[in-house]
Order: sequence, then C-alpha cells, then structure tokens
Amino acid sequence: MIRYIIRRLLQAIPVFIGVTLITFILFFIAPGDPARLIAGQRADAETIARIRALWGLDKPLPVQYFLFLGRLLKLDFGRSFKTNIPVIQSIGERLQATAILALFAFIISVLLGVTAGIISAVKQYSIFDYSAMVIALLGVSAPVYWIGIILLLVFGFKLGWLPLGGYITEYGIKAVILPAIALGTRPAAYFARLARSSMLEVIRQEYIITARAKGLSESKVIFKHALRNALIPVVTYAGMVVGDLLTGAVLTETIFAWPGIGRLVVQAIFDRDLPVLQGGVIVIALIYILANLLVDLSYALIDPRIRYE
Amino acid sequence: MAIDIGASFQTRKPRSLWRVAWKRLSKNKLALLGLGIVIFFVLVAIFAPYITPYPWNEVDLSRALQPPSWKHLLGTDEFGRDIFSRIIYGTRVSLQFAFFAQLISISIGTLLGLIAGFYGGWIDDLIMRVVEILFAFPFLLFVIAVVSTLGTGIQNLYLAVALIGWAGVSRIVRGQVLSLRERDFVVGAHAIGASIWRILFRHILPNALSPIIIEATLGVGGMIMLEAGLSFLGLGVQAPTPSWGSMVQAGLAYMRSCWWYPIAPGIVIMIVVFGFNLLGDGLRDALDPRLYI
Repeated sequence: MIRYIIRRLLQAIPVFIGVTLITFILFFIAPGDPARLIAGQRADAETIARIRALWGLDKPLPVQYFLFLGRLLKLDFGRSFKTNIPVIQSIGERLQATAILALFAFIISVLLGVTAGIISAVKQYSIFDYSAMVIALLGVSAPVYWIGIILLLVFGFKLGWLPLGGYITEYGIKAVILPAIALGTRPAAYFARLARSSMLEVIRQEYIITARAKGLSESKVIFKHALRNALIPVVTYAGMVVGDLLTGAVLTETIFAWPGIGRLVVQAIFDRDLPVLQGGVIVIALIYILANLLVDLSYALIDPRIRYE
Repeated sequence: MAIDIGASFQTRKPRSLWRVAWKRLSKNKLALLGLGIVIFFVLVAIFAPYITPYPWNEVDLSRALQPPSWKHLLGTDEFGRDIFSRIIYGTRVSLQFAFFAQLISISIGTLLGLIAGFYGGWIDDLIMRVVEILFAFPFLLFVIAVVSTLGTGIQNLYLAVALIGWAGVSRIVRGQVLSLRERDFVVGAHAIGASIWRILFRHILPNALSPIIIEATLGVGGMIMLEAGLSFLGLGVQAPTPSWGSMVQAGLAYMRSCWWYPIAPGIVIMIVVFGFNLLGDGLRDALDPRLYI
C-alpha cells in the first residue's frame, strides 16, 4: 500500500507542474503590460521599471516561470493589484467559507441522492423510481444559479424563512441552507442515478439471492449485504463531485453573496486582478488534484486489486 | 414436411449496428421524448425570425417590465423588449455555440485520441499527460481563466473550449483504438499496404463511432450550460445579443416584482439540456455493444 501511495503521489507532481505552467502562460498572454497593471495606470515610467525588476518581469520567460514556481512553493502568490493584500491571505480567508458551503452541499447531496437511488433500485419500475429518476435528470439539467434563484424566491421572499444572502457570521447556520441545497442539487442527482444502477447490479448477485434464501428479512439483505458493495462506485464519484462543487461554487456564491473563493475569483475577473485570479485558479486546481488523489487512495484501500495494477 | 433452412437464412435482412440501434432507440420512450425536444428546439433556432412575435431588439421603455399577457406571453424586460421573442432568439445563440463548440471538441479529441492510441509510445504518453493536466482544471474554471485573461467574446470562448474540451473525448477514442488496433481487419489492412491515415479513418474510426456519438450528444447539454453560465457571469455572449444566461442575470435585479423574468429563460435551459441528456442516455443504451451478442 505504501508503494502505491508513493507512486500515486509522484504521479500527481507533473500534473501540478503542468497546471502551474498553463496558468503562467495564461497570465503571460493576458493583454496589457503586467508591470503597468501592478503599478496602476497613472504610474510613471520609473515606477513601472522598478516593479518590472522587482517581479522579475524583465527576465526571459523560462526564468520568469521558474521564479514564479519558486514563489508558489513558498505559497507566495503575490499581492492583489487592487487591495495590495497578499493573495494567499485572501484565499485563506475565502477558502474557509467555500469549504463550509461545499461540505454542507456534499452532505445534503449524499443523503438525498444515495437514499433516493437505493429506494429507486429496491422499488424498481415503481412510481417512486420513475419520478425520482426524472427529477434526478432534471436536477442534472438545471443551472445551479437558476435553482438558487427559485430557492431565494420561495424561501427568502415569499415565505421569509431563510436569509436572502450573507454569511454565517450574520445569520448563523440558516445562511448556509439555501446555497448548500442549490449547490448540492446536481451532485445529488448524480448520486441518485449512480446509487440506483450500482444497487441494481448488486441485488442481482448470487450472494444476495443466498441471503434471501436463508430467510433474512429484506431490510437486513439490503442494509447488511447489498448496501456496502453498492456504495463502492459512489465513493469513486465523490472525488469527481469536488470538481462539480468547486465549479458550482463560482456561480452559487455569486447568487447568494457568499464570501467564498468562487466569488473572489469572479470579483478578480472584473477588477482585472490577475494575481488573485491566478492564485484562485491554482488553489482550486490543487484541491481538485488532491481530492482525486484521496479518492484513488481510498479506492485502493477498499479494493486491493487496484494496488497491484 | 421439409424446411429449407438455407433459404430462410438467405432471405433474412442484414442487421446493421445502426438499424438495431435505431430500433432499440425507437422503443425507448424517454429517448424519443429527448429526440423530440432536441428537434423542436433546433427548428425553433432555425425559424426564429419567422416565429418571434416582436424583433428581439425592439426597445420601448413605455412598456418596460410588463407582466405576462396575451400580447407579451412572458412579459417584457427593463427595456420593454419582449422576453418570449428574446428567449426564442436565445435558442439560436445557445444552440449555435453548443454545436460548434462540441464540433471543435469532438474533432480535436477524436484526432488526438486516434493518434495517441495508434502510435503509442512517447506520443501517447505526451497526449495523455496533457489530458491529465487538463482534467485537473474544473471545466468552467479553465474557460473562465482563459476568457478573463484574453477578453470576453464568442471567439475567445471557442478558443477556450478548443483548448480543454477535447480531453475527455480523446481519452475515450484512445481506449477504442487500443482495443481495435490488434484486430484482424486492421492487421489485414496493414498487410495489404493501406496508409496509416486510411487505416485510422476508414477502418478504425467507423468502429469507434458509438462512444463518440454518445459523448457528442451528452456534451451538447454541457456546452449549453457552459455558455449560459458564462453569460450569467457576464463573460459569455455580450449585450444586446440575447443569451439565456445573461437574461437570467438581468432578471435577477427584478426578481422581487417580476419573478417570471429570471425564471423563464432558466426553464428553457433546463428543458433543452434535459432533452440532450435523455437522448444521450437513450443512445448509450441503444449503442451498447454488449447488447448485440
């Protein structure tokens, strides 16, 4: 297992370097002179030259890239063009909010999705099964920001049960409910479809027939024998959900004024704040890589065959 | 009574993969619903100028933010433009982007997947490493990064899609090529001296088409969502051109008094993507080679 972990960690390094290279290239091809962007439009030539030298912008591109990589290793993403606050500090503050939102969304999606999927499989071709699967397909097809608007209209404006936006420091746990439901809808729909098909496959296996033949109650057959095995593909999908949650966060946070990393990135786009944008993109990609790595490792733990591939 | 087995064998119609797939698809009600939705919206996009009750850009501030009525089925926006007409025109914008973006992704992905799978070695390694790196970016985030550094506009959107959209397809095509390249008909084509491009495009590609078609259909829904999401953030199609995403964004400011304004374009996005997803799922079942045995 340790050899597998090391091998998998080593495989992730070139991917991460590739991510930094692509982000660096994007930054480099951005229109406009980065030194002027940092210094501001009114800066004189001397200031611009000083900043160019300070940031290493006067050096050849490969050198600039390695300087950039060196700074990244020290978690130095530079300072925001707009606020002059270190980018890592802004990201650190915002990351916590996104993590809270993503965690709640994840819990909601797993509870809702897996439960619906399992019931659908056990009661295959029932009205519940058909409705759950059509709702799941609609859930996959609906834009996250649009679901957010509907939730705001119903539970915020009409019923007045939940706040229209804002963060937990203002409204407590109530603030996270609507954004988490909006963000969790799509993964919930995927989980439901996946849990259903996986459960259907498992309950046709011989050991389930054996369990039934032994005279075990249906609930024992489902919960004790089938569920565990049916959940293995669901675990694999959990890694991919992180990508969905991070992407969805960009849109959900905009709708609910949630102070997370997604909103930071969107704001950075409109402020043309390239260091923040670059830092945000790299950190999100890094989280995505780590999540997939963790899923690969947990999968190897569940299924020993993978370690020996 | 003698039975002529030979004759009955000869008169049987050949069952091509596509014929069987169509037969299976036509029995799948949900897939047919999906196909119906897709055809409907394609027709709406094509005939948009003939079916819109008002021009999409006709401004009349005296009738701004009117509720739905027989005159304006979905009401009017803040400039007095007919929301129903703008949604119909938005179909054109959205589908056009989705089809072309998908065409770009599938073409690049298929070509690189064929090359990676067929040549193997360092070419395969290089292409698959790039795929792995691209997979490390959430799709929307990568496109946002490209569009926000290069500038908004449809060309940069296409460029961003061309840079990342091919990754998934190339992996699928590569997998197909790996399973096909040692098959007798490919070895045979080699033996009679067929060129590599002929082998790739005449022998391997037609046999790898099923997963490409499924991926292409399901991907159109994803591209519609992408365009709408970017337009919602203000990074996609720019005003005054109607885009469903930017209409939802514009309606957000008036959702308290005119809730139908942001809701209507969202419903259309959901129905169209739902249609493509149903059709894609149906095609996956219909084209599943395991069911031919």
